[in-house]
Amino acid sequence: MDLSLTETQVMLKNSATEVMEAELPKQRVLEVDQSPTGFNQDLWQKMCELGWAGMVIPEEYGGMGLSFTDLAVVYEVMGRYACSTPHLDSAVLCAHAILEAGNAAQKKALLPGIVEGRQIFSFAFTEPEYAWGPGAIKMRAVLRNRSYVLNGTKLFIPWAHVADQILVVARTSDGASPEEGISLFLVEANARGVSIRLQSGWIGDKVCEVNFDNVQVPASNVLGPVGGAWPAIERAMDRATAVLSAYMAAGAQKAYEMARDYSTTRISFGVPIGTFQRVQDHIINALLEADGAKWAAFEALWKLDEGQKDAPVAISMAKAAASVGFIRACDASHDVHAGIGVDLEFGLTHYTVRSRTFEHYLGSAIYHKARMARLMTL
Amino acid sequence: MVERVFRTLLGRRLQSARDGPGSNERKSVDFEYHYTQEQERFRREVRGWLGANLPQEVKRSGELGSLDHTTWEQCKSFQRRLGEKGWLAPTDPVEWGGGGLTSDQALILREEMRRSGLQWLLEDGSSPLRSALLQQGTEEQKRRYLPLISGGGASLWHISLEPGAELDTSSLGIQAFRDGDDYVLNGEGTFIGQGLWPDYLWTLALTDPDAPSSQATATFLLPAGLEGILIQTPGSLAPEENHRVTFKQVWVPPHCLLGDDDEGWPLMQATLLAGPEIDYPSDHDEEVADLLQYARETTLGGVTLSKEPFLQQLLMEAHINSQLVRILRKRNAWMAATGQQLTYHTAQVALMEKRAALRLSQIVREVMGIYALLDHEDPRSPFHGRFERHQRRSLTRQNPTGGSEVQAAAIAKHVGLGHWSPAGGAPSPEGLPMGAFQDSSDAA
Repeated sequence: MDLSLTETQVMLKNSATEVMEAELPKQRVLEVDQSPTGFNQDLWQKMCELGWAGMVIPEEYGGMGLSFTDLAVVYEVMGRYACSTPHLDSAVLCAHAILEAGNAAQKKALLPGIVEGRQIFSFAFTEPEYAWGPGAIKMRAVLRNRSYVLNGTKLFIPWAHVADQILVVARTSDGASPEEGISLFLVEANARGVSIRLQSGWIGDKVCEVNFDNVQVPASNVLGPVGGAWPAIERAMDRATAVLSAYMAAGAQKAYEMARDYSTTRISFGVPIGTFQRVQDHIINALLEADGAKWAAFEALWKLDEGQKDAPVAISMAKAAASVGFIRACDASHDVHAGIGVDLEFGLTHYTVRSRTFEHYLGSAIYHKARMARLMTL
Repeated sequence: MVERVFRTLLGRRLQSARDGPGSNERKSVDFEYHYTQEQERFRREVRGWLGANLPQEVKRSGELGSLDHTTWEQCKSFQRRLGEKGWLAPTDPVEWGGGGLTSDQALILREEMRRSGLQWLLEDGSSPLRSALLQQGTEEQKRRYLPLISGGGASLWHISLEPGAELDTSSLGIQAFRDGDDYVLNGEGTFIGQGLWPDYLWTLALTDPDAPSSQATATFLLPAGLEGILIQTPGSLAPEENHRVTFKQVWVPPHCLLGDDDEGWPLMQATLLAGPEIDYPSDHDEEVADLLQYARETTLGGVTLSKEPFLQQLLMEAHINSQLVRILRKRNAWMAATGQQLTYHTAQVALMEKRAALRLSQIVREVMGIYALLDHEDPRSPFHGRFERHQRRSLTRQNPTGGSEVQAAAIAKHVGLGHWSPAGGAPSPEGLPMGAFQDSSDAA
């Protein structure tokens, strides 16, 4: 057993830290979060130039063919800097949905654009009845004259407002189980009948309502078997979920460190507040959550990279731990910081808002615990 | 001894039986509010007036948090109308601009204001300030300020202090030094207040860093436009709630001093931190009620949320937390009304409220999912974004100045935990006190 980073991973970590340090000081995070699109174009371009968008895409499509653990090392850095980009959705989730479901021609046509950052992909899964299992897919795609016609609404879709292409999960038939009848469609973001509205709220990464009004999709834009795309979609979601868990764990770690550091400098009644046992309790709780989330994520990533059979269980456990742990670490950090913690310029809220946003994305703790129970045949 | 007690009880019982059902003696504890006919008559009067005069925009304003200029002006205009009726200072003497109402009537007024969503109009700090002026103000100060405040003609912001907190002078960021007859204020503090800008600031300042905390502070009521005052509203999770005020060589005339210049903290404790006036807590918690309604009306996978056993547990936990706070607030109201001394009780309710609010925010996210994060501008937000506001405020109100530790420390002190000096000396670190103040300047 050796849990230390490889040389490659150390290099990736150092390189990513340099980029984030230069491009994403905490003031910049606030500026981007408060901008209308929430999209840091300069940073995105920089990431693509450095090849980050192709890290887990095979070399034959222009990618680097690295492991998910390698990518998670970079995601940890991104999490520490509260970095918001379409990377997870475009370069992990959609890219792997294409890898898993697409045919050779589709992969060749689509993946290089993702790797080079020429094309941003958004993944349209969730609907007004927000949930992440196959049973949540109600939107219909109906075959008419060799084209599929999509009608319905997708909600809380990250980065659809800056996307060039949208991968839409829709139902083409009803089957004996919720998994049957699900298909995956490639839709241009500016296709006729597609309308995109940025949603408003206390949300870290921007999300959109995407409406499909008689949107025609040629049969050649179906990825994977018609009605049988669920296994490919689930595999892609698992990979993205594992990587996201590492990002969230790093956010929890940062919230912990901010609390720890503040407790040594903030003086109350003549002593640092960190000498008070109740304050220590909050900091220790944050540390427990951060460490638990981190190592659960990395074990899951290792199982994923190794192709172990129980990787899906480990990934669901990692996301459940990250969903809960990120929020608890942030809350504990707020307890330590008190009033200054809610000041947007101070920086703690960059993590707080993301803890709330990513709690639900790709499945909440409740969803993943239920999934674990099912996978473990409880 | 035991025999005597039983004989007394038996005697009372026999007397009660002889007096018949009309007897006034209570059979047991009674948690029900009882209103007199006069109170019910006054309720009809208040309800009728509010129904006829309350603009719709003002009624909704409490839901929004941040108000635009137009809505704020409408609120101020309505506030002045309340002031003309004496309803902003209901029990104050008429000669000082008050309503001259009885405390029974004032109670009804508060209930009806709350029912109309106007409670926030009464929570601007003017009530404790009037109390401070009546207790310690000079005749000139009373003449100058009381009619103005009671009439709704002045917008007031006050320094942020925590109920139940002890004073940590090292954390009080504002100093006042005497220069001739005047005072010179320097430093920075967090202020609470409504609206876009204050007319007056009510602050506490450190007058003698070397003296014991109880003798080292003064409180001032000063015009916000004095030279050297800089007011900023920092970006915050709830920007409408906290403001940063910086004092740079601000010359303050002596008539702005309330009380003596070594009595600031005791006066603040007796007024701003004394807790609300006697008030019957409402049985209705709108946030929990809305959450239950959402769960009843929303289905997921064909199942109504409120029928889902796991969510039922969470929903009932939220309901129970809310009800426990209500019951303890009721206890506090009863204690205050009957002249009993509240010790740890105020801090206890404040702590329970904070914890219940944070837990509710978690439960809301479990029940509503990401919909809980949509604000009032999003057409799909449930209840006009109420729960998005609650998500943010559950954090800002958790830790307004000193964290939830402030209340925990106050409870610990009152129930005799740790090593606390009853003479008011500096507590030991083991005494677990947290600062009453949070100096935002130490963010850097």
